[in-house]
Amino acid sequence: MKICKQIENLLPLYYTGDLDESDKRLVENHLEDCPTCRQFSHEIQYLLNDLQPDPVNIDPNYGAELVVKIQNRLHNEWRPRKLRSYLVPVLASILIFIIIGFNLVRNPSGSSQWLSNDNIIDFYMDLTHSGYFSEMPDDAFDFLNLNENDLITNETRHKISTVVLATNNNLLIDDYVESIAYLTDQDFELVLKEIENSIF
Amino acid sequence: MAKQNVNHPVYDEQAFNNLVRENHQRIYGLFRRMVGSHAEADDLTQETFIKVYKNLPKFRQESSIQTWIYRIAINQGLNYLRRMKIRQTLGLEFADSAVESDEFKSNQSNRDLLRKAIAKLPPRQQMVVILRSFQELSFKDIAAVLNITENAAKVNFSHAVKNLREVFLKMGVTYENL
Repeated sequence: MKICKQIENLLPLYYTGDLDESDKRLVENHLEDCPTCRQFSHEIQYLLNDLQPDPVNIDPNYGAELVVKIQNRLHNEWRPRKLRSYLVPVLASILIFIIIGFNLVRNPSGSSQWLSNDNIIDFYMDLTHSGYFSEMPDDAFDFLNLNENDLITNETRHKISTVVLATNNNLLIDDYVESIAYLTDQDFELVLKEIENSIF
Repeated sequence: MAKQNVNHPVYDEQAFNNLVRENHQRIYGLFRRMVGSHAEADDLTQETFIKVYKNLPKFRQESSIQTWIYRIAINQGLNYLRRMKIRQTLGLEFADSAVESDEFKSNQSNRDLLRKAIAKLPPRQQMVVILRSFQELSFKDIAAVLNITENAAKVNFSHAVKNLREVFLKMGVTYENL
């Protein structure tokens, strides 16, 4: 029944205390009358009882050790800030040329896509292997009603990219460049202009 | 979350180290609950603070620095969960349900079993469950750190709990075992 489906969705929030009064009453009234949902509610309750925070024991020295590890890594990896301020736009430009160049090599017509996978998992794996690993755009999937095994088309790829850009207000520069790597050439250039205006 | 005055930690090693000391428990705790092992949680914690360091010049103080760091950690965590999900999808992680069920009967703790079940959820649902149930964040805070609406956070949680029940059933574990 439709109401049972609705109650199933509300039950987890009922037990975490996140329902408003009217939904709470709806759940309670329904449970009185529906043995199937009562059974389901017991199971959810058991499950949620187990979903409790377990104390994480952190070694009192861990903070100090962490600071040392991070500093060591930063000293080994990190370039001086002054140098980097010049390097970022230069490296980004080189990266852009590589991306466009690579795209042209793969697709000499220049009309097709950066990557040519069939489904989202392949598409994602290819991103990973290409070094353009970026956050899997869940928001985009929700928005487009896609799942991981769906076939990915040029249109969905473009939409995903657009949604990712639209929903990630706090994108870091690396993520930003990564997330546009799979736009069409034309859109890619448009977004690059936006980056230039907003970041550099 | 209280605002913290960090003027130029990028130039001031001491200020950055203080930032690590003051925030590491929360970040490490999140990752430890997410991945289980110290080594992986430690790795993710280090990666998070290195990302924080590298991006501090771009921090615009639109939120508190703690929220900003937490957000970076959660993005880091989501990327990790997605990588794991892909490995799992490709059959590189976790034995099949029959083996898990046997393990459960022998020596697995409920907590380990729960962690494995959570790992089978879509990454976003995993994160919402961890943040709500283990980190005890409100849905409002979850929405803020995940950059989604409060309603979307609730829907994700609700689906996650229902999916967990399904995962347990597939693993041959009935609710009486929990």
